[in-house]
Amino acid sequence: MTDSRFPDLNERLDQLGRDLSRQPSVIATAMRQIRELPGALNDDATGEAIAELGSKELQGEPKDRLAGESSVAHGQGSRRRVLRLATFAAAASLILAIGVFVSRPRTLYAKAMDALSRVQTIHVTGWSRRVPRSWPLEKVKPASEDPNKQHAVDMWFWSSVDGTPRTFERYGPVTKIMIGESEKEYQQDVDLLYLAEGRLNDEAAEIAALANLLSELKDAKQAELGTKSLDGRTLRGVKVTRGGRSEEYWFDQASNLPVSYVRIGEDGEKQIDFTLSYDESVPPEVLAYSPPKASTVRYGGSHPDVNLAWKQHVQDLWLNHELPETGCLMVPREIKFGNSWTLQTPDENYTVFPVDSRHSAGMDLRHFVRNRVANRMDDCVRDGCDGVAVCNATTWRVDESLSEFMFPNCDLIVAANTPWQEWVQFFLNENGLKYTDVEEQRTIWIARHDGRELKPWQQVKPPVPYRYRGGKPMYGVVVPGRGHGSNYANGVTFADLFKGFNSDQVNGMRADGAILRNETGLPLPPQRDFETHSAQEDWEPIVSQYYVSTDVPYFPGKEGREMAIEWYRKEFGITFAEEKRTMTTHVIERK
Amino acid sequence: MESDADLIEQVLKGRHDSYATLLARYERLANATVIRILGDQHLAEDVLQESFVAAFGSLSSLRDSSRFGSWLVGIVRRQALRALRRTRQTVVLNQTTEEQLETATMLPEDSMALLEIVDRLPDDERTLIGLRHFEGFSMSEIADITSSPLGTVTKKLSRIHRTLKEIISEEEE
Repeated sequence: MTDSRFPDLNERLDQLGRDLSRQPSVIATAMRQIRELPGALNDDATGEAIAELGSKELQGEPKDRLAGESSVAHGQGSRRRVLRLATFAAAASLILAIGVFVSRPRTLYAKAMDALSRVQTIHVTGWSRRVPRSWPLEKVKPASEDPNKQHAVDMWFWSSVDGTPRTFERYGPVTKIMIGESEKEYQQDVDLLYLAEGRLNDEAAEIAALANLLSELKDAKQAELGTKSLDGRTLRGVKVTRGGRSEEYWFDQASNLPVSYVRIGEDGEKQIDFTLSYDESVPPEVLAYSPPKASTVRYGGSHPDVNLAWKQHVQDLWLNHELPETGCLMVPREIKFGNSWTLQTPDENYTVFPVDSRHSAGMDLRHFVRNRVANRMDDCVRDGCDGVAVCNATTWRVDESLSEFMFPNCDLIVAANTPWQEWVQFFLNENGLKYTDVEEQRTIWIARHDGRELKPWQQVKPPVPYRYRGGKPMYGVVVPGRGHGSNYANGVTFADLFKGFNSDQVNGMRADGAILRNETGLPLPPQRDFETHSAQEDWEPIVSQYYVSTDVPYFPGKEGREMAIEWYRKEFGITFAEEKRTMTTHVIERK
Repeated sequence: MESDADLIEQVLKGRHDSYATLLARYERLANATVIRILGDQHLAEDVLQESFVAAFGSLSSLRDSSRFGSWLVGIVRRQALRALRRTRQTVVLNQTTEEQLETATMLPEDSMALLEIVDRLPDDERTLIGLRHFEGFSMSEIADITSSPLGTVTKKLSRIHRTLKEIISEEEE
C-alpha cells in the first residue's frame, strides 16, 4: 500500500462512507419483517414477539415460549434486562408443558419465576453427592463416584452482552461451560474433555438446576416451613415431599427469589445443599475459563463445525460396530460430511478412511489413491522424497477404462498394523478391482538449491498475479502460474510447493509424468500431529517458521513445467536435474 | 439529537419507528462489516436483514445502551460468519466459477483496502468511525448519540485517526 492511496485519511474515510452509501438499504425490509411478527402491533405483545424472535435468531434453535407471562420476558415502560439463560429455556419448556399461564404471578412458583426473570446473574454454591456428567464414564470409575462424598458446587448463569446464554458449572472434578449452544466439559478425574454443539435445549432441561428444582413447587402438596431471618432478610420456607424424597426451598419474602435449596434422599441423607445469590459480578476467572487439553476427547450433539461432526462419526463407528481384530471392514454410509479425513478411532486400534467426496457422490479412483493410499505407503520415504503422498501417487497407474469409476460412499476401517498392500487390495477387491506391480523406467526430477539466502516469504508471489475485485484477490480462479489460494491467510512451505508442483504434473495418474525428488536440503516443517496440534492457531507458530512463499502456484502440463523452472530458479535458486530410474508402478485394473 | 439509549427505551415501549432510526445510524458500518466477511452484496443484504431483526429480538438484553452500535455490529459479524460457513460449503459443492465471482458487487479496490484496515479496530472505535465518516454525523451529534461528553468523542476520534495512520504506515514497510 502506498502513501498515494491515502493522501488524506479523513478524505479517504469520507470516500469510503460515500461508497458504502451506494449500497442498498435493508432497513425498510427489516422493519416490515419486524412489524409482521405475531402480535407486534400490540405494545404488550411486542415484548413477547421480540423475545421469541431473539431466541430463535440469536441462539439458532426455536425455544418454547413463556406464553402469557409477558412480565417475564420484556417489560413495558422502563427497560428491563432479561436474563436469557439456559435455565429459563428449560423453565419456559416446563411452564409450557404444565400449561399454567397467568397474566400476573399469584402462586409461589410463578412469583419466583417472575422474580428470576429480572436478575442479571445467578450464582449457586454448595455441594452435591452426585457429579453430573454430559459424557458418561467409560472404563475408569473415578473416586469422585463415591456416593458418600460431598462435591463442592459452584455455578454461574448469565448472559453475555449480545444476549448469548452462558453457564459455568463446577461439580467437584467436573467443570462445564456453555456459551450459547456450545458446550465444553472437562472431567479432571479422568482427564477427559467433552465437546458438544447444538444441545442447548436438552442440556438446559437436564442441568438447569433452578428450573428443575422450582418445578417441584408446582406440586400442590407443599408444607409451609414458616419464616426465618437471615442477614436482615425474612425468608419463607416450603417443603415438597414426593416418592420418599423431599425438597426444602427458602425464598426471600421481599424479592420472591429462592435463596436455598436442599434435597433429602429416601435414606434421609442430604443429597444436595445449594445456596443461591443474584446479580453478583461474574468473576474474571469464570468469564475466562477455558478447559485444558485432555488426554481423551469426546464429541456430542449436532455440530455446525464440520470437523467435530466427522470426529463424532468416527467415534460412533467405533462404539457401534463389531470391528475385526485384524484386517479391515467396509461400512457403507449415506450421510456426507462437510469435512472428513483419515482418523484413528478413540482407542487408536483402528484407522478410519472416509471414502467420499465433498464434490460428488462417492469417491473416484484417482482421488482415493492420492488422498487415502499414497500417504500410507513407505516407498518414497525410502527414496528420500519429502512430498511423500504426492510422490507415491506418481507410482500408481489407473487404467484409462476406469477414469469414470466411483467408489460408493463408505468408510473403510482398518485394524492397526495392517500393511497398506493388504487393505488396499481388500478394498479394491470389494469393489471389483485389483492392483498388480510392474517394474519400469521413470523420469525423476531432482531439485537442488544453490545455497543462496532465501527472501522473506511475504515477498515471494506466484508468477501470475491474482485477479482482483473490490480490493480482494479472487481465489479459486486458477490459471497456470497463478496461486491456488488454498492457504491464503498464511504462507506456504517448501513441502507445500513441491507437493503442489508434483500434484499438478501427475494429475492424470498415468504414471508417465516426472517424479519430483527434493534434494535441496532446505528446511521442511515437521509432520503435523493433529492430536496435539488440531487447531490451526496451535500449529501456526510452528509451521510459520518454514514459510517460503505467499502461495502455491499452479504449474500443470508443459507450460506449467517451463514456468516452474524459471520461477523456482528466480525466487529460490532451485534448479532441476533429470535422470532415469527403474521403479515399481502399481497398476489398477478390473478383476 | 436523541441518544441511542433514549431510542432503545422507546423501542422497548413499542415504538418501532425508533428502531429504524437506530438502525439508520449504523447501517453503513454494519454493511461494511458484512461485505468484508462475505464479499458478496446480495448475500450481505440477507445477512444484514436477518441481523437487524435478530438484534431487535435481543434488544432488551443489551446491558449498556451506549454501546448499541458495537453490540449490533457484533451480531452482524456473527451472522455473517455463520453465513460464510454455509456459503463455503455451497461454493465447494457448486464449484464456483469465474463468472459467478464476477457477479458479486463490492466496493472499489481502494475503499476495500481501507475498510480492511478499519476492520482491525476494536468495535467501539469502528463504531465512532462509522458514525463520523460513514454516516456523516458531527462531533456534537456523536456525543449525543453515544451519551458521551463532546471532549471525549473528539479525543477518541483523534486517537483512532492516529492509530489508523500508524497501521497504514506499517503497511507501507
